[in-house]
Amino acid sequence: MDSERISKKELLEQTGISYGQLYRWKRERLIPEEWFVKQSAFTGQETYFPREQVLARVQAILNLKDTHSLEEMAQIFSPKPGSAIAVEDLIGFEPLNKKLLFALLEEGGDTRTHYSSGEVVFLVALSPYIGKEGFDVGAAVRLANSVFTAAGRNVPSSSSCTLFKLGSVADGAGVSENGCEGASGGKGGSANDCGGDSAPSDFHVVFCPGPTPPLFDGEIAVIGALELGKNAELLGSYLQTIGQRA
Amino acid sequence: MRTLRVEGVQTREADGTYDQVKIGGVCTVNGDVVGERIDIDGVSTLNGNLGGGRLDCDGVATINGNVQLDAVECDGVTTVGGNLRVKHATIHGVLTVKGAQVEAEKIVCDGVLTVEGELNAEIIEADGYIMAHEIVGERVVIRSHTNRFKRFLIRWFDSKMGSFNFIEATEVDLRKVSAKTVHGHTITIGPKCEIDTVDCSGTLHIDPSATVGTITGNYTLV
Repeated sequence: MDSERISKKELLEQTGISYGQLYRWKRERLIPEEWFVKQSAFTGQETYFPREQVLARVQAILNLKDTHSLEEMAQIFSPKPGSAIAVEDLIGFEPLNKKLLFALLEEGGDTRTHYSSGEVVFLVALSPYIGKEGFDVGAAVRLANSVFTAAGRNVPSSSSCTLFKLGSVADGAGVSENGCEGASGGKGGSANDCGGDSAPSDFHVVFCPGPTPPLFDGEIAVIGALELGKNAELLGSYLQTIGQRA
Repeated sequence: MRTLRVEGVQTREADGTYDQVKIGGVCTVNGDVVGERIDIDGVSTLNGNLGGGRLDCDGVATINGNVQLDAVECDGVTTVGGNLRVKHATIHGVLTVKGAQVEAEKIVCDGVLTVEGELNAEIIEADGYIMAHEIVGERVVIRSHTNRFKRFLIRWFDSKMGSFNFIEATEVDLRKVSAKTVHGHTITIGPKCEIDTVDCSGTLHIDPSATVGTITGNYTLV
């Protein structure tokens, strides 16, 4: 068994939880179904989880379970994807790149007053990658709009999501050549910090139902994995602190 | 009070929330329906999702969608094409769920329950027949009987009733059940069970008339 995964038996032994608790938390969406990966074993079948994620989640649940109901915890760990969050509430949400938020609003003509929690989680997960590998604010805005168009307001926040660029990472080295951080996304969008010559469709994401990221061929440069689950938790906690239920 | 009443032989378009839904006769309802109280007496097909409070099915109902309700009481024959999520389900008749999951707080079954995927419930008490790929939860009690009526049901519906790939719960109590794998903390393998593998982390009781293949885990035999 590799170190990135943990078997269900090991998980139960390490954390001291019971089968019943584990499946109760699964029913209540405290532990995403996608984390239960079944594989055949000599005992017939064994279930594995992404080790770090599930151990952190179980510990968080154990810390909260005496002070929060299952419903409240579900809200923290997986805010309903379609529920609306006011833009003014997002201003104080530290992990969200404000340049990205304002650029999105500017592009949309300031017409949007709310974003769904799924959309916010996606934006927050994109935020750390802005300025890396030529992925600038303009590229992030285009990508976000593309995802929002495809997924509606229900951007999934429990699956794995990989950010990638067509062409190898080396091909996107316009970043250092033109000395402009995050330069490769610009096709005249108002949100761009500076001009660039990459096509608007260079950056993409792929959502996968399980925790395992997809494998790409050499023509695809993987920028990174978006931490949707972790950011969904952050958003849930933030909404609780400001008193808004997503 | 908003009521959806469908009687006689007819097809209706429905998409909305109702206080009461009454379906009798032979009918087809197209669209998602949410009802606080849903009664199905005739032969009906719902092409859409069903949600809301309580479903009482005395007739033959086919729901081609997902079902999410507080309570289901099935005295007739109910087929759910998608997933079922319910707080309490009582099955005296026949309930078949073709989706990947059934999730419930409590299931009491003295009829026939067939689940093609995973059955995940806090408590499962089956005096009748259950067939599921997997059963998981806190407390699983399955005590199969073979009176004349139920022998008829087995022959009629499926010869594999009472057999499972996988049962996993904190407490497992089985009688006349065959399963490939049983995992649990407190496990009772009762009379006439046939289990390939048992993994127990607490106390294990095996009836002398039961057949068990491999036993693993840190357990105390009682």
